[in-house]
Amino acid sequence: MTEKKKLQLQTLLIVLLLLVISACVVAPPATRAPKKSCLDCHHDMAERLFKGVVHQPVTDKDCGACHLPHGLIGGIQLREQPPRLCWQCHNDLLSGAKKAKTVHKPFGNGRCASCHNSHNAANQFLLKKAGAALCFSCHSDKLFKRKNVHAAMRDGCFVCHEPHYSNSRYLLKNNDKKLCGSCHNFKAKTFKADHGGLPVTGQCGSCHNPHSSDLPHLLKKFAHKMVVGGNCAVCHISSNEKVKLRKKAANCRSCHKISASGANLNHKPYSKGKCLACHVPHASEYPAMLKNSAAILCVTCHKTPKGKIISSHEPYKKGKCLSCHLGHASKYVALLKVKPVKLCFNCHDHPNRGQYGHAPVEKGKCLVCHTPHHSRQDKLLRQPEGVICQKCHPATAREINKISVHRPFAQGNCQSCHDAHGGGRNLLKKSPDNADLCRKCHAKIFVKNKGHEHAPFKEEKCLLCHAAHASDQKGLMKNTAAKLCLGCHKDLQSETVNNTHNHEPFAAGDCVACHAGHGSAIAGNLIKPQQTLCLGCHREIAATWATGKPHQPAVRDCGICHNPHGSKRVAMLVDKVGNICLSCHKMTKEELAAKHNGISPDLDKCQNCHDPHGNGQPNFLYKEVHPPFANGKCKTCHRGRNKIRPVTGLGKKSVCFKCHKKSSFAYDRGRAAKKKVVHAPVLNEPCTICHNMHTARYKDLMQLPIAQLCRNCHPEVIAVTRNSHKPVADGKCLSCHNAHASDGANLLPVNLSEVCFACHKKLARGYKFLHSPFAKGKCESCHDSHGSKSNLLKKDDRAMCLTCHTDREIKKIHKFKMAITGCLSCHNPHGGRNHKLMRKVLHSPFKKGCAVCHKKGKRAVGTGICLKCHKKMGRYYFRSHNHLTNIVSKQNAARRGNGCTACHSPHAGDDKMLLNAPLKSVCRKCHQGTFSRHATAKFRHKDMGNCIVCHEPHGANGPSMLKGDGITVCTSCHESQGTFSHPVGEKVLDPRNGQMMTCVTCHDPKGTDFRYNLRLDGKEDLCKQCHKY
Amino acid sequence: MIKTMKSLFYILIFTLLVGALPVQGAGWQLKFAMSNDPDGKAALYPAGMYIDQASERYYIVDSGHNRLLSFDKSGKALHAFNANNSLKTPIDMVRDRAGNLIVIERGRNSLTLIDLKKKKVRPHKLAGIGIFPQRLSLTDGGILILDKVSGAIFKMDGSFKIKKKYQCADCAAGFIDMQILANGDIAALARTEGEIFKFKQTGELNKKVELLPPPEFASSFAIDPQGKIFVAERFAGKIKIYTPDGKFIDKILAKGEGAEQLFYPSEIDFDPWGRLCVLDEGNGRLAVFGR
Repeated sequence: MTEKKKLQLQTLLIVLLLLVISACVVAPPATRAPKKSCLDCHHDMAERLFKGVVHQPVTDKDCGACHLPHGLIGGIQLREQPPRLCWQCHNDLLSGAKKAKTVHKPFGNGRCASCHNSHNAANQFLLKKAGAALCFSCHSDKLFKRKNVHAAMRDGCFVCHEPHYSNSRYLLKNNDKKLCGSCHNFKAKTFKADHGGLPVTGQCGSCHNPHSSDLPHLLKKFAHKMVVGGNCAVCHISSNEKVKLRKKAANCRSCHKISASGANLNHKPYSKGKCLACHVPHASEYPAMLKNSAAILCVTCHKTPKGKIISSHEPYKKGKCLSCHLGHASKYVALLKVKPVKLCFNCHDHPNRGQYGHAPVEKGKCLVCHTPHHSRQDKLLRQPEGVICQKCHPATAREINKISVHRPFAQGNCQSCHDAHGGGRNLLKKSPDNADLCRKCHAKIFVKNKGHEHAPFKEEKCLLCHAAHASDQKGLMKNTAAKLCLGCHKDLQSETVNNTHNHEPFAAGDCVACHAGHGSAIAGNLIKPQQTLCLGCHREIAATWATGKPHQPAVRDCGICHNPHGSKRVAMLVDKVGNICLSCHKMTKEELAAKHNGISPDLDKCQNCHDPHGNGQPNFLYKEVHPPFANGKCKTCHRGRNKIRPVTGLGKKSVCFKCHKKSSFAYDRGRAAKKKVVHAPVLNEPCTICHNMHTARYKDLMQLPIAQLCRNCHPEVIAVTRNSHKPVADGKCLSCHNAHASDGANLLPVNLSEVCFACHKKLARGYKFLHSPFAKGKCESCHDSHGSKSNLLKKDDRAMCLTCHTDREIKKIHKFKMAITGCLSCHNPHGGRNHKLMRKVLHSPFKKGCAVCHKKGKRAVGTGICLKCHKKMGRYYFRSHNHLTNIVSKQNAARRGNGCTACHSPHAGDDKMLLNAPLKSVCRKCHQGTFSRHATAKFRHKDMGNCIVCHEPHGANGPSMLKGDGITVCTSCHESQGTFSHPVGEKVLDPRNGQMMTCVTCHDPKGTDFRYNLRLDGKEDLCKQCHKY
Repeated sequence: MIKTMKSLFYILIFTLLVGALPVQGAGWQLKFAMSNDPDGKAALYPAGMYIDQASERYYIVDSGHNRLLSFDKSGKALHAFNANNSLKTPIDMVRDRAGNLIVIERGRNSLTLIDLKKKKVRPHKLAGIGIFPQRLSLTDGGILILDKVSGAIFKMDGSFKIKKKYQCADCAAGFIDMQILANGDIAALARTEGEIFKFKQTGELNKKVELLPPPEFASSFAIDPQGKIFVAERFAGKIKIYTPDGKFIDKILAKGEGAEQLFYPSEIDFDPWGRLCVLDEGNGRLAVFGR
């Protein structure tokens, strides 16, 4: 038997054995366990809950009456939330309370547990505390424990009060008459005698405090003199067991002579004799026998306004109205006790803390800014701080419209800097003569030890340069940097006035391009170390240094050679070149000549051969080297060693033409002209006007980059504009012009078209018939090769054509009486398939004749004519954004009536769409900004030039006139991205604006500097726009 | 712990710095933005706005949802109104003195009068006279409409009959926006030329201001009480500010979807409370900026 089979047999035996054992085990009978009660588990509860007065369900051990069984997960679960749970049994309370006049607040709010325990208690009715102690847990016991306590209080509050609700005031069990009468016999002789012999049968509370009092007979704290003396009969008279008021007593003033000498302003109730509007006649717990505390009494008439109150006057808040006002009459407005000017200063110290006082404060007119009771602003201000200030300071307020606004001023926080009550000059919190005030916010700017601090900054004269509130210059500067700086640095102005070479930022008045206004750690208050600062703009030097060795003085200090603001010398040099160089390289002429192979160099032209900033070449010579110089053949040019300078240029003695063929780029003076046109400098100047003879930084031994060199003499011709020809914009003058001489005018080749076609290759082919100027290669007869407003044309198309063709001739051919415009809408100016140079594709109505569209004698055609055939296009008129109604026609205002012709030619075109120009050019005509903004983007959409792939050219309802929404347009090409990318669609909203997320929410299809055309860096920045973390 | 403390410190420093900086770009800060109706549904492609000083309300013309939204002075959404679903691509509106709404409906090229009291909608189609109104303003005794086709401004009476025409015959594309000035004169912006034309009410050209450098692609302009000219750059998502004589001063805001960013601003105006209101079509909101 193999080992494997043995193992299988053993396994089988074990399984059988297990089956036999399981068969022998007898299963228990299927009986259900008895249900556990709550107390089976909660033994401790049983011990605690059955003591004292026990709630009936607890007595019945019916926990389920209130609780739900909690199951496996512990916790207390009530069957209902209180008070509904309580009302399940005590619903009689609920129905009674609905009809009651007064309801105890905790009961009304359903807070049964504030008085009662739920399971058991030591007191009757499961009350938490016994007798009055329970009530005193909310109601202060002060009023109940004075010298004389009502006897009824001994048995607790419930002798007189209901605990839940009542049909009498104060939750009393009955009205005064019945309740008091239950103990006091009103008819007893002694009772009557105590009340001046008058029949008193109720309204006990008008004189007595029902709980306690410091006065005898439980009289209220402030009782009428007659009441205290029991002289009720002075005011009242008894008639038929009724108490009546004596006539004399009807007028309080008959006894209470209130002296208010000179008071001409009366409280309304006082003037009308309505004393009881505020006072009670017998006794009160409030001074002057007022009905209630002033806080409550006054606001019954003088209502508190609704809305949020931010600040309240302390006396107002505490109801101490009478601390400022008189109750009856006053000489002063609003029944004030004293003059308003003095009143505030009774409590508040005079706020004139500084040298200068705010006018309203000086005059004590606090209420100009403040309100006396409450305010929706801080500090009882009548209105927001800024608004109050603006009312008196309108001129300052108008400064808000300036460009740069100080933040506290913009936010109306005048008190950030000013003390509204009084302070230093201009009410400033701190002196304007130093920066203490500014430092409060701009602390970081004032960190000392800058090293080189600007004097006004050092002296903390911030206001010398900055405006305090607002300015029309950035950074709250009082004036342009140039005017501001030169206002102090007058020497600089006088020094530079005659300069011919000024530093560009200095000339533009942009002082802060280099200098820090406050100062810096670098000499001259420079914003960066000099080298970093200079190389930030002069990057070509930085590039040279990156690969080569710098000239040490240049590294040390640019100012050794250059004047940073300007000078009368090229490159803003501080002195003649030779003087500058020899100040370090101290050599005699002989030593210098020895160093230069025996030739004494021109001392003012060191920089012609040597790079003054340094480079990677030996002796800092430039890379471009003249071959004789490179080979050390000085004699080729220098005939007499150090005595005679070599002559360059076209002259007979010129050494240049020993090697260079004179005839190849100029003419020989004595012979027939080889070249018709010679560049003036070639003719009149030595070659060194443009070239260096030994070495040069630029190709062909040029002294400067070509464009810069050309611009020095031809600044207007090659000024780069928005409509410049591309070679002009790129500074490639020599791609068209010959630098020295040419047979063609303007140093162009005779056949200019050769140059033009070198770039415009498509134009050179495919025409059966050619336009004469084009055939002759006279591109310049129509085009301005440097730049013009439209297609580089010298004039608009009609004017251009009329330079050769006469109006008469044109009319004759076209058989029109009216003037012809827009020649290019039919004709190709370069060539065509027939002798009329018609464009390739003719519009079908045009083939049939002009009258199809044009009415006799009228040139203008509205869009309606176009829509007769192109009916479907009409619907685009009704889109919120459409090109059909957005017409551009400079030449003819009447043409603005036709939206179609803004892009299409109505007559003929070079493609089926009959566009006026290639698609990209048509779009670019209006949307130049969009094209140029994305021109330098690192990642651009491959169909960038084919706008109509994504955009609906005629009209759409979306703002960017897309062919669909931002999803359908993209997924029409990028099919898969629509299924797995970031959620998009109607249900996914951009949290920033609540709009639907689409592909263009994150991608800018026109181009960005981030991969996948993302609008921001996809690693983090883009996501964080929405997913804040 | 140290990291957290460090972060808190930097945040504190940043906050202090930001607080201390002078407010650049004319110090305009977003006060609030209005986009959602009272039920929380956001506007889609809002094309026009109207500010009613009398009732202190802002109106947004929600062209994408064919409705008008109203907001109170603080930006709280009040109502969404679609005239019983009868509006078709509304693009601008005004509320006349009688309380009627006059709405430009591009969907049927109509100047539609909505009588709110009688609950009647009366379209007045304009296709027959070849006018496609783009902007609408109330003026003394009538309305001004800016016709997108001719680029001219027409003054109409209450029954929509043309009474006067203001135009620039030499402009390539005519006017693209208009404003009624405090003295009742009319200012209009010619986009292609980058010039503001100021007409007297009689129609006579009073003044021409050339904006230098000209805006790239202006969609709207507004003139503040001091005469400074604010121009909305539609594609650059910025507002350019010029002096009253047309010299460029500064530009504010930036392109984007964030709080103080614009995505295709379509209309700007100053409300009676001196705040700059920018209707942002791409972001579907009316943003109100204050100093």
